[in-house]
Amino acid sequence: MYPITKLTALFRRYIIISLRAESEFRADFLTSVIQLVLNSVLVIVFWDAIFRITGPVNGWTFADSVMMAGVGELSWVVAMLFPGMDVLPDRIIKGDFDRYLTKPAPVLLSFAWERLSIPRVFHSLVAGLCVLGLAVFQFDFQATGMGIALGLVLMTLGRVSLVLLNTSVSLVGFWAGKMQTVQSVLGEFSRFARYPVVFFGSPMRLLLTWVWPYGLYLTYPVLLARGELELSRNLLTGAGLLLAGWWLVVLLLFRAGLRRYESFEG
Amino acid sequence: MGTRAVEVSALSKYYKAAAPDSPGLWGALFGRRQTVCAVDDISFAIETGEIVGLLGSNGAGKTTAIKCLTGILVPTHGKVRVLGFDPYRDRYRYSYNIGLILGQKSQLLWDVPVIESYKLYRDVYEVADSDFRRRLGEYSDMLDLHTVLKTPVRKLSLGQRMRAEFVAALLHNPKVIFLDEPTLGLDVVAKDRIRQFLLEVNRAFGTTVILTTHDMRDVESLCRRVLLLEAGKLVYNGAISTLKDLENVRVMQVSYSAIVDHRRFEELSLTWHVSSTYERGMCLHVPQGEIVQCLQRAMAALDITDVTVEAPSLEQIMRKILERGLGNVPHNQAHSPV
Repeated sequence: MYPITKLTALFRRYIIISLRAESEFRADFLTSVIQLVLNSVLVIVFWDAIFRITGPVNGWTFADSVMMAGVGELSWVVAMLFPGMDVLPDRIIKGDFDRYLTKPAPVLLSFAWERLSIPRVFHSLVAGLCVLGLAVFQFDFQATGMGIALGLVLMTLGRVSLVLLNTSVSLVGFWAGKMQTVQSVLGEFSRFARYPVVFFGSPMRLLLTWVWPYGLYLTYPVLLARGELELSRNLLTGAGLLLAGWWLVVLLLFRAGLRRYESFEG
Repeated sequence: MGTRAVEVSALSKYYKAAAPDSPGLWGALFGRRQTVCAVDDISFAIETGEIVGLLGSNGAGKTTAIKCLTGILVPTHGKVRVLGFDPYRDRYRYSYNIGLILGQKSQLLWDVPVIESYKLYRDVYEVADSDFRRRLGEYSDMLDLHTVLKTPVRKLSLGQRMRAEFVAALLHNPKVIFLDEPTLGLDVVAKDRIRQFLLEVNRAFGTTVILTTHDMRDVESLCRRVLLLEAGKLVYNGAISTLKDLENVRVMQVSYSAIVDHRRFEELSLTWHVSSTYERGMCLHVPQGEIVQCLQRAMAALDITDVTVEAPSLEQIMRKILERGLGNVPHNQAHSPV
């Protein structure tokens, strides 16, 4: 295990590096801001159109969907703290791990943090909070303080689990080489992230909560924020176990994978 | 001097690769995979403070050996100890003690100024601020880097980048430095500066240096001992001077006043070899014991204006060895202990 003080110092250093790097490419940052704003607006317009026709579905309202859009945006803050996992197989093939393997720092975290974009993290945070505010103040989403806090914890656990799941798939690259096809097939499941799991039947709901945890970090945080707190203990325990399970999988795959690492090129 | 920094015993590294007899789609999907041996049962030791060259042709296993020594690759068989550490198993503690430069892979962050990479490595290696500033100042002076510290790495020339790589690899004052083709693609001046820098670091801190290169001038200016790899096997482990002595010839450069038929001169002896000729001169490879005889005959046959006799350069020797192997090396010399 790495000392927490060292991890903190490294994270702080990577934040500074990210800011320096972004200042080199300001135009790219601006276009990414426009993309994120557009994304949130389109989601709200889409749900507005649907709910005008259908009214609430299984007790799920337009305000819930706006709230979910806000939670989704906020969850990117968590995801973007561990970027680059999708390009991991390509980097493994190219032997780009050499520099991390010869440094006294956590290999996967260094790999991820080197790709950190703090301005984008900050933008997702602001966009997420704005959309949440819109849900509460404009569309009358009924939230409790405790509910929001538990919802944010659940969102964090669920989103980190998804990151770890994707990392596990990427780490198979140590054996399989290129993983783009597998990644894009699995990426198809991300379409389910657009819809609350309450729209689906039980088996699908379980699958989208405990395997692909879209429900866990998008739908259930909204329900918790709404004050349906009786769910919280089981959900938080389950989410904690899910995260621990995927973390273990990542750890085992990474350790075994390093024995297969061939460090090509150079 | 005296203690061993590196001990390698029966090290082998195998890779799996698609067999060449399985072409096409079927071969890609279901073809046989063969085991390729990159490093084959090599053993050697390196003393603390030594500068050792790891030589061989492309694909001989030099880079693989370096990567096993740094803990990047896990050996298939054998034992590696560097500074008492198992590089793969003790990676965290071990990596505080080593520096690595891979000529074809940068350690620096591409889009940010050079100084940001140095500050990152200061935090990674937990270098005290005062040490960091002092070493950065000293190394920047030695490598003339002050002007590029605030320039993004992607805007540096190759020579500037390689010099910057050296500082990044040495800021934590490692006990052992591994260099894999560190002067690749550099001009003569940049190479010379880096060689001087390495010698200075080695002298000042007793740093052990293990170097792979195809530039024999690197080896001649830095190393006293070389390890020669051929198809993954260690075929020579000893002093450069011994390697030169194995090639028991001298290079004789003869200039003369008139244009002559060089073949006539070569026919005088079966053991002299005319390696190159020009309008009024030639270059001969002559067995060491026949120098005087050769000179006498040359003076009798030609109107000599100038003669030089020197030992062949390491480059010339290596070229010969790589072309025809090291068949004439006695076994105990090829695998001589340190």
